[in-house]
Amino acid sequence: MGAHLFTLAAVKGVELAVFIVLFGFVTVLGFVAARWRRPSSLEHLDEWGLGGRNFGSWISWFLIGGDLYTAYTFVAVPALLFGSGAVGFFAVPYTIIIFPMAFIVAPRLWSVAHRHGYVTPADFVRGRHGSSTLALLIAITGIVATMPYIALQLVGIGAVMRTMGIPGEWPLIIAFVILAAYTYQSGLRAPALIAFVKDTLIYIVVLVAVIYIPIKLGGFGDIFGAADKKFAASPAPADGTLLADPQVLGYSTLAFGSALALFLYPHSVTGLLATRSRDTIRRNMAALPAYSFVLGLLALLGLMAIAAGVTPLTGSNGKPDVNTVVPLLFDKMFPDWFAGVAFAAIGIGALVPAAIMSIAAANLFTRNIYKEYLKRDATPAQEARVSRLTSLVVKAGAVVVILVLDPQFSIDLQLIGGVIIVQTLPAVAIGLYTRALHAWGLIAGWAVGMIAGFSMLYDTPNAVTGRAHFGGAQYALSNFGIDTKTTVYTGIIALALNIIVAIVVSLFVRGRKLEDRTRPDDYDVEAGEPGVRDLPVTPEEAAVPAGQR
Amino acid sequence: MAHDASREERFTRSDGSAPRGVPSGDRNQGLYWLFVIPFVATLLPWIYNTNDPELFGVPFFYWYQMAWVPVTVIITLFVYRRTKGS
Repeated sequence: MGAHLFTLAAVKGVELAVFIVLFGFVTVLGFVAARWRRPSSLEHLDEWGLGGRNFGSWISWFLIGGDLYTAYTFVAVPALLFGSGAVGFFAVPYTIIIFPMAFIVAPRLWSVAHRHGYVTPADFVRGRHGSSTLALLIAITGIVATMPYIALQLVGIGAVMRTMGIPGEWPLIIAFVILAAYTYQSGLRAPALIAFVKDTLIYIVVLVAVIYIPIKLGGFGDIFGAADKKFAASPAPADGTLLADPQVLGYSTLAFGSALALFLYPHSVTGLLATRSRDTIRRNMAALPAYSFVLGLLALLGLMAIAAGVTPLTGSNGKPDVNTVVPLLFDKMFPDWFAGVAFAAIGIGALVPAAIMSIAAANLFTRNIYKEYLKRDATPAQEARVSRLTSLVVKAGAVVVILVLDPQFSIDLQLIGGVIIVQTLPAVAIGLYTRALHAWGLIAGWAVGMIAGFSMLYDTPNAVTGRAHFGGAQYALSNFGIDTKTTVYTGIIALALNIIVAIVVSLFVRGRKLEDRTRPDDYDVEAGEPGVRDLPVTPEEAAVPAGQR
Repeated sequence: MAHDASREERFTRSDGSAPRGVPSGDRNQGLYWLFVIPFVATLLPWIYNTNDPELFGVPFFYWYQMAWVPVTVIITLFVYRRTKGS
């Protein structure tokens, strides 16, 4: 099935039909969402950009889960196991430790954001550290880290489309135009409603896949046997079904660093701030690991693809595109109609995070650039309008990036994105606990972390792909003159430098006081307490038995 | 005050129904130290980077890490119950 030849015979009719029906269904949901949970008006950023700041436990579970576990994750993590084996499994420890950390830290962000009406992480930084320059840097970091992530969701849809025999970019453009339209119309309510469909489909597909496919392939013993054989035969030293010794430290620092980064991404913060209460967040941190389990099962699909003899399709740049292995595995193993369901799960799985990310990026622009620098007296209605328009620009930008540039460019940018977003940790996460780090120290630390992170990534070659730069986010310690093959996650090294610089500079500028608009008790208040908006019970929440709320 | 919603705006947006929410005042914050357990168990691959013992043909490396998902959920639920405001 030559991907470059678009003949009607190559298109898989049943799969495509199922895909289109499900896709059409969520499109309707996306537009209907504007009237869901009765907002009196969407002309306020709290409504359009945060869904009314009133989502309860169930909605938040679907929304945050749908937000964090993107289509790209579902395609790229198994692809990593397919290509390199055990290292790809870092996604499991990463998504195990993220939730206890967020359980402790995230409620503090919720509380202070609700008392002060903050919509973005940069809003908080502005209020807490009293520096608009620092807030601007945090906002720009967030936007830059998010943009390639949105573009990569298109890579996920593209992998599915090509597997169904539809080459070319026009299906991506159609999908994103529809997405842009209902996000503009309904704001965060659209992905919140669609997330129910997305996550339900993903759970069904993954559960069926991990039972059905191993049975067809002769059990897990045979699957791991085939993977072992493939990795033993490959010339690359860094692959295998277990970690090689020099990879062990890199594996754990990558899991740890990725976990630190995840809730600093603007779209994660959007999901957190859309919840109704601190309690909703804490409850969710106990329930969200269900997705981690699914992700672990999904990761194993990469090894199943090896056993099933899947060969990746050739991408638009003429190289094998490993992101197609999971769609191809589904295509090979499942009956056509169920493969269609699985493809729809991935396709819809791209829409939810793409919508939330574009909303988050738009909110950052509106609050921390437009309102701070262009129009200080903007009304809430003007803010909402600017944000809606910006979300369109952001999505158009993502489409252009994918169409004009090699997809590899987006993958590189996303790699950089993870390393740079973690540089906002001192200002945001440490800032939630202490002002010991001065705004100027934080700015200096941020600058050093960014430069160090970027130059280390530039210095990283990849022996397998033969690239000299941006070959991965694992930095060889031999670069520091240590005689070892061990590597460490680049983001962690850059963050360490960032924090050291921030501490040292803060010691020097201690005397210069900047305003802190928050008070200590701002960080612990719960919904219903003084200074926090009263929130009405909505009918659908009241219908949930009290014990589950 | 570019970033703070006005006081009036924050306090007048309810539709008049009774306020809801649970009291915060997280109790027993010392229990957060229990979260060290999943960190140590999953972030030290030296513990689990082996094939044996296998489970249904799955090497230890894979099923051990997967097993920590439900264990961490149990720890989180325990901490949630014990730290929740009364």
